[in-house]
Amino acid sequence: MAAVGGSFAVCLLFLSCSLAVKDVFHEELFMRPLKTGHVYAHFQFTTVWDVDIRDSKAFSHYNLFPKSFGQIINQYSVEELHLSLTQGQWQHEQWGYPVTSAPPGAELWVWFQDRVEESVDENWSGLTQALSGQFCASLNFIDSKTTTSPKLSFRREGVASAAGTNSSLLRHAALPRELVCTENLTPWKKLLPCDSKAGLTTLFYSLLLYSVNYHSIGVHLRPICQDPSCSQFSVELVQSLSMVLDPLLRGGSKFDWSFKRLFGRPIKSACPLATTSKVYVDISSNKSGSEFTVSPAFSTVSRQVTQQHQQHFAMYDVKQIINPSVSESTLNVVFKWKRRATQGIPPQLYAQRFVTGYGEEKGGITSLIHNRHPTDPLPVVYFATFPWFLRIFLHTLTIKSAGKDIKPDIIHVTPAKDRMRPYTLEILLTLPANSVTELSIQFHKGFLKWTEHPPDAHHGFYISSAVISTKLRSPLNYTGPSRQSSLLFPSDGTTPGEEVFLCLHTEILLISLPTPDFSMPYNVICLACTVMAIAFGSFHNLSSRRFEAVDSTKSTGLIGKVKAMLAKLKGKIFGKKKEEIPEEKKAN
Amino acid sequence: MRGTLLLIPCLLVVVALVTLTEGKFVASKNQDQDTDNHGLDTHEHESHDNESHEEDEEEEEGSFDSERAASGSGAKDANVGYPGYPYPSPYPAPYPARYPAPYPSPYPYPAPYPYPYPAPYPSPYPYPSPYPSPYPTTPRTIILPQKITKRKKRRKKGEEEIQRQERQRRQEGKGKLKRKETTFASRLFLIYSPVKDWLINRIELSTPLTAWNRVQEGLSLVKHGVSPYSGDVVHETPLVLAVFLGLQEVSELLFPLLFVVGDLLVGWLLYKLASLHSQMLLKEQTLNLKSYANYLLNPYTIGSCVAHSTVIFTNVAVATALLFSLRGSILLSTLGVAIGTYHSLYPVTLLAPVILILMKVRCVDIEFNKKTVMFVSQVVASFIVWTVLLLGMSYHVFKSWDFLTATHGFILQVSDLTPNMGLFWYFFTEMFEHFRIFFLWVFQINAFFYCIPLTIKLRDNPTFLACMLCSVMAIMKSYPALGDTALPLALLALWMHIFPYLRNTLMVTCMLLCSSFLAPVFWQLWIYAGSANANFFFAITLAYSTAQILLTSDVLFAFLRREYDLHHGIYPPIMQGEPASVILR
Repeated sequence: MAAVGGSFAVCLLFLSCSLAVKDVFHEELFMRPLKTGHVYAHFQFTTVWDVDIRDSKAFSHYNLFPKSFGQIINQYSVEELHLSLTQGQWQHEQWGYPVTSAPPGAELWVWFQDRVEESVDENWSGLTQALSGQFCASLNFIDSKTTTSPKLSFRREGVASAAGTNSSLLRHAALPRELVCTENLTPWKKLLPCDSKAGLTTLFYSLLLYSVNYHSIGVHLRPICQDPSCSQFSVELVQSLSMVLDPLLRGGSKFDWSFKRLFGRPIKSACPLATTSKVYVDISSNKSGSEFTVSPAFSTVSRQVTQQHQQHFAMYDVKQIINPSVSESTLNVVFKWKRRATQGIPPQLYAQRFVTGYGEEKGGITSLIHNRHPTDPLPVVYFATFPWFLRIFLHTLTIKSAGKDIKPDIIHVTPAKDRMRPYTLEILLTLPANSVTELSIQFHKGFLKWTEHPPDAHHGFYISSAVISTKLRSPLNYTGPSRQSSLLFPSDGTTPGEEVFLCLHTEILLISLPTPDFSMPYNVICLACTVMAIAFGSFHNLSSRRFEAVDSTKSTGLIGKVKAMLAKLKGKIFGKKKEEIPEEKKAN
Repeated sequence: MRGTLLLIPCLLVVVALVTLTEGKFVASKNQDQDTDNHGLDTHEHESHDNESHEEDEEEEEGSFDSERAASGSGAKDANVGYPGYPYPSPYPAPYPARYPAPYPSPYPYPAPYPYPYPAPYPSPYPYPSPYPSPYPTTPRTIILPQKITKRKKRRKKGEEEIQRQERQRRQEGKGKLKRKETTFASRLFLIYSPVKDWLINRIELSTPLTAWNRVQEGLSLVKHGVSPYSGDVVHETPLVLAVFLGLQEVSELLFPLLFVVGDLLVGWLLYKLASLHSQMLLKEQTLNLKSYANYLLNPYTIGSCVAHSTVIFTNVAVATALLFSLRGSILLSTLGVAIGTYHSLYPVTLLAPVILILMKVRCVDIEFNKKTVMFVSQVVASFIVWTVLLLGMSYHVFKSWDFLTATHGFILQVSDLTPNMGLFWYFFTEMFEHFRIFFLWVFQINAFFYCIPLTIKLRDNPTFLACMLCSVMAIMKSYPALGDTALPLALLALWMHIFPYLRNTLMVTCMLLCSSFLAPVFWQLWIYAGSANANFFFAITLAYSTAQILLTSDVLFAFLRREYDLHHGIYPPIMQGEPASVILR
């Protein structure tokens, strides 16, 4: 047995040497009880592969990194890719900030390598088709009508060269109508080294996975540095699955929860290929242990957010807890409330967006952006795209805070082209301290051709979320990986930087457009052509003929001829008038 | 039936006698001259400007009458028995009678019934009509005796008198200034009232081409450093945007004022146009100068002025073109056409009437000779120069040619299907995609095509041709609004004298009124209440277009019918004893 194991190890060593590349896999689960009683669960699976993403030859031998995905990104020269498929709207005001923000529906934004600068659009369209097949999502509906290249939002998250910040390499698109279901989850799971056979993914029980308040799967690819000096690069692929669960929906009358109750099963194994396999539970709000209890026993991880504020997490190392030699060892984290405080600290920045106006002719979109910081003004970038059939009027843009007009620092506008490109609005503005800023714009609704309406035309059209990006200094209720690390909680204990880059997605909007009558295209064509024909006929008649005096008694045309024939016939039969005329003739 | 059969022998006799008594032609001519003074009056009243034409007409008329007279005298010779015929033939028969003694007359027996008409009148005009007119309204109103005497008097009076009258007219104009002030005041009042905001968004008044909020959007985009033509919202021409940008520098409060002033300018141009036209048409007769009032008091115009519809620029251009072509100024008239073309493309068809008017004013014959060709090419060249100049200036405003696709390309492609009062929007909404290009060509060619047959038909009446083309434009253009109809309606007032010939005035008026009132109602029902659908509004736009088509073709009919009457007399010739019916053949 030992000999076999030894030879296997030698084999492995040999293999890894021959490939001369290293890749590691981490799996993490982060859980946070929310003030509303919901539970936020964020699964993060990270594969780090020590190759340069620009080196296309390196993408021929795969170990842990998913091959099908690697081929796609290599084929289309992708440098950074962020895809999210989400069901439900994240409630910032009540839930705080998620680890990664995602809008309802599908969102894809990609930075391409600068060697394909001339053919970014072709690569983009090819990539969306390929990803559509890869994830069984309708990403193939992304076309020039939904694609934008924002100048300020969606900066690179990985390594960037100085020239790489040119937004002509960036493509962003959102499909707010996209529905997410198990058909998207299955191909997503297949990218993981352990699939759902072992490790944290065994918690994915599809029946329970989708009866949640918020569900989002994401794929984030970026190049990172191997070492602090950044002499060599790696590729980091983060696959994340976030959800907000309601314990009450899982039976029982209490907000208490356990893995068994939330996911239907406990963790039975760790992925053997994973270097890290850890579960974290946020216990920061459990001051002096009076609010809730968490079992089984855990080790505590602390993170210094500000000088006064610290965050604490209960940490379970699955690899240690679950002993493969003991068959029945499982990890079932049990969480019990003692006293639930329903009031929490609202986040510093959050936003709402809604449609104003009535009728199907015109309307407006208003965003309320809250800055709850008592003293500091906050610069934010507001980015919104509108489909071309909303005729946005920039001159109606008003930005007001407490009755005062706010002058935006920068406005980037790309007007819409009919059936070609969407309207893009990007505003850099500074929110005053402790204020609500109202940003509103008016539009007229366009009239679509009858073939451009979807089958359920009266359902309306979705407008994708606005994105608000900012840098927050020491946010209290934000937990996420720092930009430098691949893990949620890096083992070397580096604290995240003082400033955290934050991205918020507002609500998607539903707008109903005026519809034509779908049932009668033929009638309309006939009627309009008839009117045209009336015009043509009468003008033709009047301009091609001239007035002439004719015998009013002699009617011309078919009817006249028939009448004349009849008269002749009558004369022949009765022979009355026939006599008169010859007589006269004779006389002449 | 019986009557006509009986008439045939009579006519045969008449024809025979005419051929027999050719020598009596002179006599009939004399007779004709006897009644000439009356005849001339009427001719002159209805005739056109140039004297030679009048003479031609007279000759024609004369020969026609003489024939009639001849036939009449023939009938008399035949002793058909008119006891009351005033004078016997003063000339002895130049030919010996064909029929010797046994037959006192060519007829074996006297006519079976008396000829129904009292006299074989040489000219029908001075006498009241002996039979009911076949037309619903006779143009007899035109030859009111008072008018004739008035004209006679005026003819007697010298130039002083004319001057005095002009003074009077000017005073009248001053009196009408009051009306002008009221129109001015009403516009200003409305334009600064909340009604404006409501009207600005009315799709009946402003189309994507002329909508004010799109102009504002253009100004705003320019302010933000974005080319207004990079998007598909702004379709206003660069020079108009430049005008507003310039005004914005001074004050935004001037925008409404610009529209009011522009509207009044159109009114003034039409006033001048009407007076010039009336001078041209009937040198001395005052025609009612109502067209400017017709324009300024038209609710369509007031509405589109208050709604800040930039159709005003087209209207100013068209009115300028027509006025200055009547004044004989090649440069200014082609400038008008060029501005109109530049702003809304369709007025390019007005080049034809403008050329014809200029030719008429400058006494260039419509013939294919060197002089005419030179003149036409001169006018066309001046038009092209103006157009190139305007386009070049536009290029320099934003340093790009994008505006061409955003303005003229947009007019031709009809990519915006926002409802308007025209025929295009719903047709292309419901069009099958693979037929779209074909029908686009059909509809657009249709809009320009009417220029050719109408020009050929109305080449002698270019001012009327211009009016017709304006109407056709207002119907057939891809984004029509109510403001487009205002100008042809105002121009129609120049031809008030043909109104008696119109056939379906009542129906057209009702259709126009109904569609004007129902359009906002059905729009409300469709868009806001949701209780109606697009077909309701489409039906209204169909009715509106049909009404305009009927009106235009009816006016054309009336004009041609009146022309016919001018040449042939208002009473139709007698055929087989009954008045002939005049039909298009």
